[in-house]
Amino acid sequence: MPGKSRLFLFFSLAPAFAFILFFGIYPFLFACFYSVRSFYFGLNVDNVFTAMSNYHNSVIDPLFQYSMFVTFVFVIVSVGLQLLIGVGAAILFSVIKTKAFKYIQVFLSLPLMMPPVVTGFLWWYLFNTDLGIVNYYLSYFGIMPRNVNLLATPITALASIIYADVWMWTPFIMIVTYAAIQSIPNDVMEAAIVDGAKDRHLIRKIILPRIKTALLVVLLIRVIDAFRTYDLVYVLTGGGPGTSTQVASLEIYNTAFLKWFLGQSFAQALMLTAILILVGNILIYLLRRGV
Amino acid sequence: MKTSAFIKFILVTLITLILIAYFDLPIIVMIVTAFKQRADIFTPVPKWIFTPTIKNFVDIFVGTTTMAEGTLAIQNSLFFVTTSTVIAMFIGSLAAYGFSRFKFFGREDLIFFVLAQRFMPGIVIVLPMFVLYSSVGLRGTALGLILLYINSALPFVIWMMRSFFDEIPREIDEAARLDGHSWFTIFIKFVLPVARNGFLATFLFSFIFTWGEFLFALILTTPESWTMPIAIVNSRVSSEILWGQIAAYGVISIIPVFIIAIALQKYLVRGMTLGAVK
Amino acid sequence: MVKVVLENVGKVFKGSKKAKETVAVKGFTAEFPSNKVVGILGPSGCGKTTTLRAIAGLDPPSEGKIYFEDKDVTYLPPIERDAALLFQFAVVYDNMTVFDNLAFPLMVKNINKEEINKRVKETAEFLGLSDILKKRAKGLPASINQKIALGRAIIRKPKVLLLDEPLSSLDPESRLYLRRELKKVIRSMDTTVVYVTHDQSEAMTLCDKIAVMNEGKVHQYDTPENIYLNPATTFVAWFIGEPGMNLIDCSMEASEGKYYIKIDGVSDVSFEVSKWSHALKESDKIVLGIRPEFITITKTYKKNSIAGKCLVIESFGSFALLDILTNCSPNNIIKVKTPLSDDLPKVDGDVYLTFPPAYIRLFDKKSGELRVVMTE
Repeated sequence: MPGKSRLFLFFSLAPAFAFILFFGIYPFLFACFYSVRSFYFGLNVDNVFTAMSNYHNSVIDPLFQYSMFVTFVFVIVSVGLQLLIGVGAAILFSVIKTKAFKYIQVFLSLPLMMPPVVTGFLWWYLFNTDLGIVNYYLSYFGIMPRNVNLLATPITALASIIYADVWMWTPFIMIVTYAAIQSIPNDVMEAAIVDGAKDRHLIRKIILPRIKTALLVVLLIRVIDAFRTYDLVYVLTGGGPGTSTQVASLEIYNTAFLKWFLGQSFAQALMLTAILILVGNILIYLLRRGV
Repeated sequence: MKTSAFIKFILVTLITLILIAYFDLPIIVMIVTAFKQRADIFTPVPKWIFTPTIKNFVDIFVGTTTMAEGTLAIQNSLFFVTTSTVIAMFIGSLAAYGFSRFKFFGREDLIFFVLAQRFMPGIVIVLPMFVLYSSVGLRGTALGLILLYINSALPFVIWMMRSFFDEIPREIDEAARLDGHSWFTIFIKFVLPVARNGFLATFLFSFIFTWGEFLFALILTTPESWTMPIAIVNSRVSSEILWGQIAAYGVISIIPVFIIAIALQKYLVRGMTLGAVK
Repeated sequence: MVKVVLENVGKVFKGSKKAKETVAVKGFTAEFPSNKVVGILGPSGCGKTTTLRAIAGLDPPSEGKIYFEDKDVTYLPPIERDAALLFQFAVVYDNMTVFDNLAFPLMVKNINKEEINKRVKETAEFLGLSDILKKRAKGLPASINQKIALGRAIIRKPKVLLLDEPLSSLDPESRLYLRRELKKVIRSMDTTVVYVTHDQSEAMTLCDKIAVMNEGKVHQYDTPENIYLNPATTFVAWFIGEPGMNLIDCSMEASEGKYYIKIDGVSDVSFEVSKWSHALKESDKIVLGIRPEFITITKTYKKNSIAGKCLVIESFGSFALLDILTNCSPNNIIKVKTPLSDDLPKVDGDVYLTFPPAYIRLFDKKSGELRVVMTE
């Protein structure tokens, strides 16, 4: 590479990497360093090296264990439902060969364009016992009495969060999957149809194998975002009732800003990161292997 | 033939209606609520027919109630998000161009490293920054938040723009090189104009994502620098929940985003998958 | 096994904001005899692929009927027709092995495993694919891909085999090779074959009958010999042959109770056509057609010959193609195809062209239809 090109390459990458190194790597190293110290913010506590005790205390802390459990339940159920509905609808629209989806896709994409806080508030309002239309219509059709506060019992609160998350993100999976199906060459679909393939063969033997990569990309993005979910839960239930919907991000936030024990919150945050890296790498491995 | 086409039509219409109702009805409820008077909101039976009012919107801007911060928060959001997105677009496109046009040792690893930033939990970044900003006095300042927003937009911008640059034939660069232009001139004068649609799409998506950002703003802002999501959340702590104004807030915050989304239909999929699916 | 009957088949693609309404095919009526190979030949965009897709059931026609034997299949989905289709760009299911590709049409019919195994082996052997059965069908050469596609088409012994320019995307060598394979396959099967192509040598060598199409209309549906010798329209005359017929404007004149054809712009050449004058009387203007290979060329003047000057000589090894500048209209160049010999004229040399009357065809200029074959 000639000198001038080398120089340009350096200056093209330098600003971006200056940012990434400072705002990506610095916080990470900072967190690593203080995660092994008794670091309380603004409190008069000795900031000393405590080895792995922050990690150890987090792991044996029932609250943290529970928050991890809730997070996993949330990720698996929510992303699972999104995949099921999103991929299902995309395949349905493709198999009945209609252009309708093209026209409605922008309307379907509105939920995921909303700022998550607004979404949280919207559903908080919709789930409101006295004013929300969810309770009103559920009782109207005799499914449930009006005065049940869905956000006030652990199971229904989690279910409500999942419902709102599914509402918000299913369109994402639907739209991407549909686009992936549309990119399958028309010849291939037609050849299979002439070969006598019925819809189920088309789906299993032609469509699914060819959208695997797109599905994995979608899954990667969704799983990792779901693990980090914060705003929706913060607004909808604030982790309640009690700590029943306290997802990991919320628990870490509370450790930091209720107990002001930043050392331990770093330890927890890094453990969450480790899980994300692990899950992410499994999906990326599958992607690169070209499943 | 005729009957099966008819059945198909009915089926498609039905599914389409169900999907639109499922995904858009809540939004419609929000918009409707924003135009309701207080008395029409606090009814046990949802009211679909009422006299519309714009009082909720007026209250946000004029600030006769507890939501006086409204105008300020909207200003803050617009300022932070626009500034950070513009800067991120410039820095990120430049890096994307470097990644797209030069082969060098470790390139793939570097690109992957950039992507990994996108997947870092926000809380891991924001807690140390909270400590740092507190000690250097950046907490609650515009600069502090804008710097972080630039950083979190960068991976998206780099990946998106790289996928657009990769589609532009290298012959354009090579011809310009032979004419004696410098790389930087080529980037600004020849390549960016060709990629302008992709540039615009990336800018707007980046805008949407930062527009709705919550966690960083929650931890790093003070009332003077509250962004809109924070103002919305904090309006809840007042003695009475001002549903109408919250809905109006929601409507204001989704308007720019919806306009963008409709204009960008073509790039929707690409924007949502960092260019991985077209 | 079945004859395919097209009855007034037409296809109109509806217009939209971006595209105008286009008529792809109109009034296609023909009977494709059972167990024969029928070619649909024409330049690109003439509607041949549209017709084929209608027969396959992928896009039903907008008017007319299609029958397999006596059964109306016009609106039946492909799966109920038992027709196989080979695309221009070979389709292989590249996420499967070659074996699974061949097995696919049988698998979807729930045929038992042993039977599938047996038939895949047979087909693979027949096409010379046995060695790569276990390979994934990805990154194979185009000719192998087309063979796999062919295998998938014939393995279920379809009643009708539809081929959409299956050779045109291949390199010349594999094209010749696959053409031979294709011929072998077609001859060995009890199936009605429809072969769409723009390559006349393919159509001529493979097909029993050919339908020549242009701009959505069938100009002639006949045997290859007849299409070559007695083209039904000036389009067919021009399109068939390499190069096609010379088409020369002429007019009929009467003198002393006899009728003559005189070539416009050439004073002393005429052919007596009294026998067919009734067929030519309605024509305002007449076009004379003659194939380049039937023209006799001499360096000395002969009676009833056209004088010209040799402009270009292209030698093709066994024969030469000559461009002769004459006074004929509308095109003053007449192409002549003649065996290579020492006696060839020189460039810029004067030559004389004689048209043997037996090879002259007369068309109506306005409609382009064939009016007279002068041998009869």
